[in-house]
Formats: sequence, structure tokens, C-alpha cells
Amino acid sequence: MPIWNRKYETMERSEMEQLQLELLQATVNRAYRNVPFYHKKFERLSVAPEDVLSLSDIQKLPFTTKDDLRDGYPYEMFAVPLREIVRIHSSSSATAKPIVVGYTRNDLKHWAEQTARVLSAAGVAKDDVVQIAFDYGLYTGGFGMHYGAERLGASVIPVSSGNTERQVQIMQDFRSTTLVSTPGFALYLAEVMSKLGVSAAGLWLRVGLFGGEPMADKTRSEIESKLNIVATDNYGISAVMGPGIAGECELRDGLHVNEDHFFVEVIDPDTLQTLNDGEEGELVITTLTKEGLPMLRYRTRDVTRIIRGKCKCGRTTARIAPVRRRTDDMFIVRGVNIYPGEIEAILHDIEQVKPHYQIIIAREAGLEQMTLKVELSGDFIADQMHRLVELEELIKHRVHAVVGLTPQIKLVEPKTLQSIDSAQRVLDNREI
Amino acid sequence: MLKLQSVITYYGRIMALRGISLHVDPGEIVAVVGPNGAGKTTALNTISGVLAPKSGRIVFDGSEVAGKSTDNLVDMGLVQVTEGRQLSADMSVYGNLMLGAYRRSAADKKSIVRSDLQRVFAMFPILEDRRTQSAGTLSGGEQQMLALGRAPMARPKMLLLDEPSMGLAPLVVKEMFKIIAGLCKQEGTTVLVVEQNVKAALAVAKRAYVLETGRVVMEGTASELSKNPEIQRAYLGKGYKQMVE
Repeated sequence: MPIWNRKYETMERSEMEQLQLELLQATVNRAYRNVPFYHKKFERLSVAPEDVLSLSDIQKLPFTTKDDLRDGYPYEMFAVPLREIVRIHSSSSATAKPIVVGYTRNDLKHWAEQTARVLSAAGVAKDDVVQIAFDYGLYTGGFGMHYGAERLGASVIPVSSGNTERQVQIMQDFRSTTLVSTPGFALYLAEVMSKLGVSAAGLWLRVGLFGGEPMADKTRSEIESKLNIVATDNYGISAVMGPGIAGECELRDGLHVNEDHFFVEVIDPDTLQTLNDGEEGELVITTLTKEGLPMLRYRTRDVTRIIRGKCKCGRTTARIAPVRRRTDDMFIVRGVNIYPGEIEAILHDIEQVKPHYQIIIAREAGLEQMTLKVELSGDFIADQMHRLVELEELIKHRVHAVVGLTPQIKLVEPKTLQSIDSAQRVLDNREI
Repeated sequence: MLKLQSVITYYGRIMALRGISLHVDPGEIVAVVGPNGAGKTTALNTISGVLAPKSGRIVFDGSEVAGKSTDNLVDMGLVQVTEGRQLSADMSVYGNLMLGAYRRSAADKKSIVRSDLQRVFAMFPILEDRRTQSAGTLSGGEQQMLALGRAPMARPKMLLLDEPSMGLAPLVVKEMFKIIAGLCKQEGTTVLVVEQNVKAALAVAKRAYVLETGRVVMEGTASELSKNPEIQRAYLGKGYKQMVE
């Protein structure tokens, strides 16, 4: 749909590459000068900022991982003094150390520009009423899309996540035309609507922007038919920026990357070599304009491929294919990132159970449910029902405290799960 | 109009430019700012052909120009404005201005050159008043104006300006930059200006690059950069406080 920033979104390849080279060099120079972490990493690899003389020279630079950000908790990786940071967000994980990201005033300005482009590409304009059902708070999703929608001049409803029945009410009464949420929430919303007897045909909703978790083709068409909208996919990751990194246009032939702000590469996660355009591998992102927390070659663990060439919509920016899987074992339930290792660590600390477990994810009545099967310890005597219930509550409570989501617990007999292999550790029945 | 890609220039044995990349679009005023010794003048001299880069690309108006002579570049329309004190001191103001047109081909009729001269006089009325005076007798500000006024006589596509504010009183600096903005607007001339007076440069430029120890550390629109706390603290003398870290 309308191209929000014609200058950058339809830029000639050679001009874009010139701009990216300039911005990359400036970013590298600032990161080297202001962030001791990068300074040390450069020295260890014997590279200097002046070794980056072309875009492909980025391959000489070190990677940044989530662990690096954790080790730098909370502010070590910031490239400006804290007083220049005007916003701080953080990852949901309450394990060891979450990751903390900071934005300068200019970063927030750029963020609004980036998400405005993503919204505009999906077909949102100033006359739209945008219902943002992403969590507002430490999570980047809500605020990021909020700024872009405001920049477009749309009417923004910052309803945040949860309270689904009320969301349906708002959608009807406030005449929302646009839904911004996870694809999982959209399906659940449709389910609640049918329970309440609300027909999609009676709504004003016409477009949805979905992110935060993978959206399978099947999920997309289900959302489209149940909510009677055009469903678009967009990509963001908090460590790099949040939403606004890339998004689909109405042709939905890949997600357009905001290349004047982000440099994308795809690498082989095992050899760490950069792959050719079109080859599938792990997405690696370098920020080009970020001041507060510049990221050099951040390993996203998300699997995609880069699509070059002009899109029929007129944009010349590189595109990435929708992300469907990851290179690690992280999975997402209701927009919450969960690592099996976190669950295992919790179970280790509870003496009544063994750290043998299985996670089953399913969609029940539209809502994603995580069930945790846990093997009881041989010494545990389940002589009384209330002891079992107490144990279930304890596990629920601990899991919620760490990952931010309450699972259903199924306690099973000793020695029934111990031989389970890692491929069966997480059973995802959602058909992603 | 002008593109630099990873230009490295040595000044003697010192690596004065450590791979700088920048671009100037047609009709833009772009500033290169930074502290003393950052490599600003080296950058300008490398572009204008006074210094040869060791590596990197310089593309002007579509052609590769790294290593080309200054005369060659003037013929192509890339003109560096000399500092006021490099004028021909014994020559009259008129003579100095006509010198600016000396590389123009004979096909350019005298009448056109004369009308160019009239335009310069319209921009710099003071030069018309002093047309017969020798350049050496002008004040510092007037000499700088003469140097600047000489540039349009070569009908340049792009002007390179080296510290136009140097040694001038604040009011004269303001006047100078007003004229530079006028040149860009009325004549469509593209301008790259290197300047230590960051405030004055950001007031006139559309975009700017911040150079430090031979490296570009920041680029952005002039309004973005003038609001940047780091720029304000380092160059604009605003809000300096103890850093909280």
C-alpha cells in the first residue's frame, strides 16, 4: 500500500549501499570507541574499525549474542551515558538475567518511522483505528507499533494484551479497522467472538499486523477467514529494536527490511559463514542508526532467507522470508519466549520430582495451552490427594515466576519419561 | 553528485583519513564538522585533488576522480574556494574575479562572463564598491567574500569550502553563510563545507558528517545532529555536566 518514505523505500541499490556503508562505518566507529565489550572483541579478533571498507567486510566483525547482552546486564552495552537514554525496555524472562535495551530520543524517533513504514505497507493509513493488543510495558511490541501508528496519524487504541471479551467490545464499539497482535491472540479473539455470537461481518476490521511469533500459512488463512481481514506478517526482535525491522506489503511476498536502519545477513549457524542471497539460514542483524545500544551482527536464531530485487509494490528494499523456525530450542506460547532449559532448571530445584519432563503445546478453543508432564520422584509418596495438588501448584507457581506463563501440570509415574529423547521433549501440536 | 567510499589518505606517515565514506546529493549543502586535527581539511584536499588518496573511491558527477588534478576537476565543475589569504594580493578585485573564469572555454562569450560578474556583484555589493582596489588592501571578511565571489565565476556544479568562517567576526560569519545558502538556492550549486564552527555549519547545511580522528562517527540531518546531546556537549557548549555512568 502507500509507501511511507519513498526516498528510502524505493532507493536505487547503489545509493542504498552507499548509505549503508556510511552508516555501518559510523556505527562501527562509535561501538569501538564507546562500548568496551566491542573494543575488547575487536582486539581479540585483531580487527580495527578501518578494516571495514566495504559492506562485505562486515564479515570480519564479531557476532553479538543474547548471552553477551545478559553478561552486560544491565547497561554495559550502552554506547551513550545513561542520561541520554530516554527509554528502557527489557526481555520477559525472569531467569538469571534478562536483557535490557535502551533508546535515545533519536532512537525513538527512528522507531516511530520504522513501524510507520511497516503499518503503511500493510495498508494502514491516517483514517484507520488501530487496536494494539500487544503487551505494553517492558516488552517492546506495544510501544513500538504505537509510535508508528501515531506517526501515521491513525487513531490508536492502546488496549494491550488480555481481557479478550473487552477487546471484542472495543472492536465493535470503537470501530477498530486494524488489529495489531500475535497470530495466536487473533485466533483466540475469533474463538471468543464466536462464543459471544459476534460476527466478523459486523465489524469494521479490515487488516491485521501479526508478529511476536511465527505465523504459518494455515494460521494466516484461518485468521483471514475467521476475522474477515487481510493478515500481514511483520518482524521484530527486542535486542535489536523491537517491531519495525521488517514487514509485509499487501503483496505478501516477503517482509520488506528497513535497510537504511538495519543491515541483514543470513549465516550458516554451524560454520558461521555468510550465505548467499536466497539460501536459508540464521538471520543476523546490524543496526545502522541506533545510538543507545548499537548491535553489531546480532544473532537472532531465527531462520529465514534474503530476497533481493524490486517488489511489485515498488519498494526496492531487501526482503526476508517469514520466520517459521529457530536454530535453538526456544518456542513461543502466547507470545512468551520459552526455553526448555529454563523449565528443566526449575524442576531440578523441586525435590519431589525428577527433571524428566515433556512439554505439550496445543490450541484449545483457540487459546494456546502449555501442558507440562513431569515425572514424580520415586521417593515421593502420593498418599494424599492434597499433596499432589500442592505439588502441582508449586510447579505452576515457579514456572510462572520464571517464564511468565502458567502451564497445566500432569504428574506421571516414576520412570515413565526418563527415556524420552530430545526430539520429543517439546511436542507442538499447533500446526505451525 | 559526489560520493566517497572508504577513502584512506596519508598525511606524511600519518593515516589522516581512516576510510571515510560520504555523499552529497545534487543541490544539497552538506557539512563536515569535527574538532581540530580530525582530518576535515585533508578530506577536502583529497576531494579537490590537492592530495592523492591511498585507497578508496571518489566519484564526482558519475566519474571516478580519485587522483585527478585540480585543474581537471575545475573543468568538470568541482571548485574549491580558496582561503581569503590565498588571493592574488596585488591584483584588483575585478582581476581576481575574472581569474575565477579563466578555465572557462573560449566558447563562453564575454557577454556571458560579464553577466556572471553582474550576478556576483549583486550577491556581494561590497565587491562592486571595491572593484578597482587591490585585494591585499581588503579586510579579512572582504577577502573571504572575494574568494567566495570568485567561485561562481567558474560556473561550478559543486563548491568545496574550507573553513569559510575562519578568522571572521561572528556577524561576518553569519553573512557568509547566508550567501552560501543563497548560492545553493539561486544557482543550484551543490556545496560541501568543512567547518569547525559547528553551530554556523549546522544552521546552513541540510546534512552533516561528524569526523573524529580520521573517522566518521556520526551522520544525520543538521536538525537531528544539532539536537544530539553528544554534539551539544562537545561542540555547541550546551548543558555540560558531569556524566552519570
